[in-house]
Amino acid sequence: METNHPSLHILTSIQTNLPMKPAYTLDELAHATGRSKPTAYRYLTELERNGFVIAFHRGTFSLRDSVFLPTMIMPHIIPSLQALKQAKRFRLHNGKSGITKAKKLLSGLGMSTLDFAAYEITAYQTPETFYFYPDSFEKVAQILRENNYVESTKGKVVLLPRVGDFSKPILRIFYDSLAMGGRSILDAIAISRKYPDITKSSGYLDFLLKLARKVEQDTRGVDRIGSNTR
Amino acid sequence: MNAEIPSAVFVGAAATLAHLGWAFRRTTDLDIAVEVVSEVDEDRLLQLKYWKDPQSGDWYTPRNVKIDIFKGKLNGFSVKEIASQSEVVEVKKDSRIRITKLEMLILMKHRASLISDVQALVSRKYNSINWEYLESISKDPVEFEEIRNVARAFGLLKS
Repeated sequence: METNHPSLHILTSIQTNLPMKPAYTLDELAHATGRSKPTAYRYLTELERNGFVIAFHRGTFSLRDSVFLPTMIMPHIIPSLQALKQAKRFRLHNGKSGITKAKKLLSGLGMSTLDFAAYEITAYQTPETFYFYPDSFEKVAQILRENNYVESTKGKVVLLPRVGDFSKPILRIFYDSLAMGGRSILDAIAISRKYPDITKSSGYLDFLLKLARKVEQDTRGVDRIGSNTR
Repeated sequence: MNAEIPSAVFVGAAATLAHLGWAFRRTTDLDIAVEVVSEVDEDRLLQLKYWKDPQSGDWYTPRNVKIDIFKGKLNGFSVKEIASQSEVVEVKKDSRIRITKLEMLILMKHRASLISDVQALVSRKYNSINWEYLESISKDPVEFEEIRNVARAFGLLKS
């Protein structure tokens, strides 16, 4: 599937001028970027098309915090964002999440990502939602329906269409985690700590993570020396 | 935990979990605000079988869970305020913990720039939020409006 990336100047303008907040108004976006309200709306539409907007209602909107990641990483996470935007959520007809059952039903029919996949790699954050890239989206959706699953906006079994590259599963889970933002960014960092060679393609982000590791190690050393001298 | 440190109020992930449902994502570390400082005196903690990592200085519970202890202010709220407004929730049968009040937790997350947690708390717990109380503990009208805007963005608030 072809992807259209948001213009670099839009991302740069947003990253430079908008403070990180859980929600914004269109007026704030226009004011922060020094553009007219119609231009701000066009920016927002482009962000929405690329999957950065998680809520938008009457001129007020919430963005994924991944919009603030270094711009050079954006081409890597846009396919993940577009997959998330087209996700279909399911739950069991009786209201239960049906995660355990879905994991069994869908075994061998695709690749899991985000929460459960990250937990299998890192054992860091407990998983909440089962995200799955089926080899055949329609076939797997049909299997779920035949097994008493219904589509629901609050469903915890989530099918994602395959957008982008899946040749390196761990790298894909890493980029999916970055794209998702929020607590999933912690997963991405945990994955990069475990597989630095695989995730080094994230460029400047990889560089920042390495620096963070160095500072953490060095600071611990300083703390040790400090406590010894007290 | 509350049996060992009675004045402890859970302020981080555990509080978020208690409000959002126990399936919400979490790491294993715990953040607590403690009003009675003597309860977390080093000697007392060691007596309770808590232990300190000599390299990092981090404290761990007897169950080997990392724990961050806050004794002063946390994101603009004193531990006294956090404790006086805390809620008691049942974790399992006959086991209760004290957690930060929802409105206070939202503002603490907001002040810590944990925007996805703010989005989750406001959008999932909208019907439980006491907006008058939230306004009364916001540091200014701008902060209050920023939280209201989350509810507006999710189409939960009409005005």
